[in-house]
Amino acid sequence: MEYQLRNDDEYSTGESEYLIEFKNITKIFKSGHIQNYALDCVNLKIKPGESISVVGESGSGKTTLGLLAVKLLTPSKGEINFEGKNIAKIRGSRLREFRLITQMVFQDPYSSLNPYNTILESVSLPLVSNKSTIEKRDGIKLTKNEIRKRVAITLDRVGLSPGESFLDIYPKKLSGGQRQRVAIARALILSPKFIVADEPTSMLDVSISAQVLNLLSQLKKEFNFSMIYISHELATSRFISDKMAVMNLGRIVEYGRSEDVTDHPRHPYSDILIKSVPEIGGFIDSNNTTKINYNVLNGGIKGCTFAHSCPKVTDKCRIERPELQDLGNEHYVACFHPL
Amino acid sequence: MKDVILSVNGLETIYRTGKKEVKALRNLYLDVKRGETLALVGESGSGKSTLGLSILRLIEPPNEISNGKIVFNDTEGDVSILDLSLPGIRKFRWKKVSMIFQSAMNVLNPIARIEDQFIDTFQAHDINGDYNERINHYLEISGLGENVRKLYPHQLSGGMKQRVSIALALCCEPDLLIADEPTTALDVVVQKEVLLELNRLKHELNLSIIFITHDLRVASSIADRIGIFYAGRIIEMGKTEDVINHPSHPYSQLLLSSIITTRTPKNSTLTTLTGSPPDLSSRITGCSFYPRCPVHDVSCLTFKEEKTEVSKEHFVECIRPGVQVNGMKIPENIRRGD
Repeated sequence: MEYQLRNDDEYSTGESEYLIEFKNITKIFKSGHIQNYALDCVNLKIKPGESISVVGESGSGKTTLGLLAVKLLTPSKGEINFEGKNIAKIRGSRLREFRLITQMVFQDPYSSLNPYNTILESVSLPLVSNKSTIEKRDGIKLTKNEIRKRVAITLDRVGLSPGESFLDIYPKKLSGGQRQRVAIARALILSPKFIVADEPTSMLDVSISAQVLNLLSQLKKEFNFSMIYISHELATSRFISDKMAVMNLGRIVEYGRSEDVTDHPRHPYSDILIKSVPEIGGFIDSNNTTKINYNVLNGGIKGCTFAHSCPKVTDKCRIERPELQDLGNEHYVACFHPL
Repeated sequence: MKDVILSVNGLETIYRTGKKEVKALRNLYLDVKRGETLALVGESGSGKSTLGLSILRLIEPPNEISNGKIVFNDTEGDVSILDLSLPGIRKFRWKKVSMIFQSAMNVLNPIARIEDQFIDTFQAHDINGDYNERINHYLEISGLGENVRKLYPHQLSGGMKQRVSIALALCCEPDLLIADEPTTALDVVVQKEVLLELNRLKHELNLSIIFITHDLRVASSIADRIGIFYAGRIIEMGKTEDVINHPSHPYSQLLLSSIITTRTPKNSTLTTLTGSPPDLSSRITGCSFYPRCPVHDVSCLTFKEEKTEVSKEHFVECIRPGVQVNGMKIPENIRRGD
């Protein structure tokens, strides 16, 4: 009861230790009679300046989680609190304020930039469409020159220098890595508190993706924003993030400091994910033959989502839902038989 | 039979756009041994896919293979692929050399059932006999069940579609399989399954595989030999363990050290390659990697792109073979346990 009260107080003053907080979030996509639980009662908290990577295979709900966090989707159940305030129902000017401080970087830099817009037009769009709000906030007029200046500075910041020389060219002149830098510049131009990066390096060559990762980790230190980094690539996720959440069929099955999760996975699913990462010279364990059963319909599973493929499955796993339990050291796992 | 199944000699392939001529392959030499997996690794635009398309003669005008020879060594003797007639090359494709294309998701006909796609393939390549048995057999060896026969592509997951395209590539019993980034669009778990599957099939069917990828980690987990592609040429080639343990070209060293593994220290700065590959529509003098090379000097400009053998079967195209880039942090290797 006391706990409840304290929470209520927090929300009324709009102050919280966490920047963003997912509370029992469920997201259902309906197609005909089928209800697909993209997210099934997910809880997640992110502190200011903290970066969390969300890893899992396609269909695990990681992108849905990212889209909910920036309110491009609304949850079916549960609430998302941003700086202590529920963002489910906000609209109008408050929604616009929220959009100013949350941004997204998409997977495919070839389709996320409009080919008919110059780099200046693409990167300045967040400034132009929020012009009056920003003018009020910063107390200056956003003239054409001011916008050009801000865009050029931001381009410099993401390693496209001199920024001036990139302003008036079209995306077709840029390589994949440069395009992704432009997409990052567009996300940064409003100095957001929170960025969702959805597989920002999966379309890029290995050497270019290293550049983008270096850039993101350097910008993170410089601007101190929080980040959700969505990926199926465990090695890059571990490198870029403080915490890691492993998702399987709409649920978070393991959560902890990223090096703890990758070096000592406790959930059988995380273990399989990590053993599938190719390393230089071969797979860590090519004898591990646990096959994942992909024929599981995600329609509100009663027991554990991984019960169909788990080598350690028992009857309990099929009936009862395992909740995230604390293993100490900020490491949580949702499994009755952790490794 | 010779132990070399395919040899490429002095191959040049040109792409034409407007007035520009892009030399995608520049005087390329390559031997593929019988029963080996040869991985070709390089950045996008380095010409590795073009090589695959050239071997199957899928380069269409105005683009052309302007020079060179591709010889396929068969039980019936040598076949010069570039000299085959049009009916000849159609018979050659798929029965001798087949290919898994980059976007396996899109190679399947969306309005045909899986079994019909097999029947189409058999009919196009004059294969007679019991189709039913053949289809079941190839679905089975690719790790799929008979139940997918009646399904349409949209009813399959990405991994299953990839397996279907592997089965389609194998169903005419080729001797050489060209796999062009077959796992790039797949999740890690499925990627590992497909890679192990390919490896198993190689032994089972006595296949030779050319495996095209941009990921050195994937290449080193599956290949017997690795060739590093840069600007339309293979700049380093050797046994997998030699290339990853003793990379001799500065480009290979940079490529290896930019890889992130689950042991890369956090908060470190990753080594990166700066700059971009040369414009292949203009003439390249000297070493093609010169502008991006951290250890270049004036002599590189007069380099004639010749091969040097640094150790047995380990070749490198560098004027100072084995030169070490300073401060390289080549990730700790896991020895290959066969």
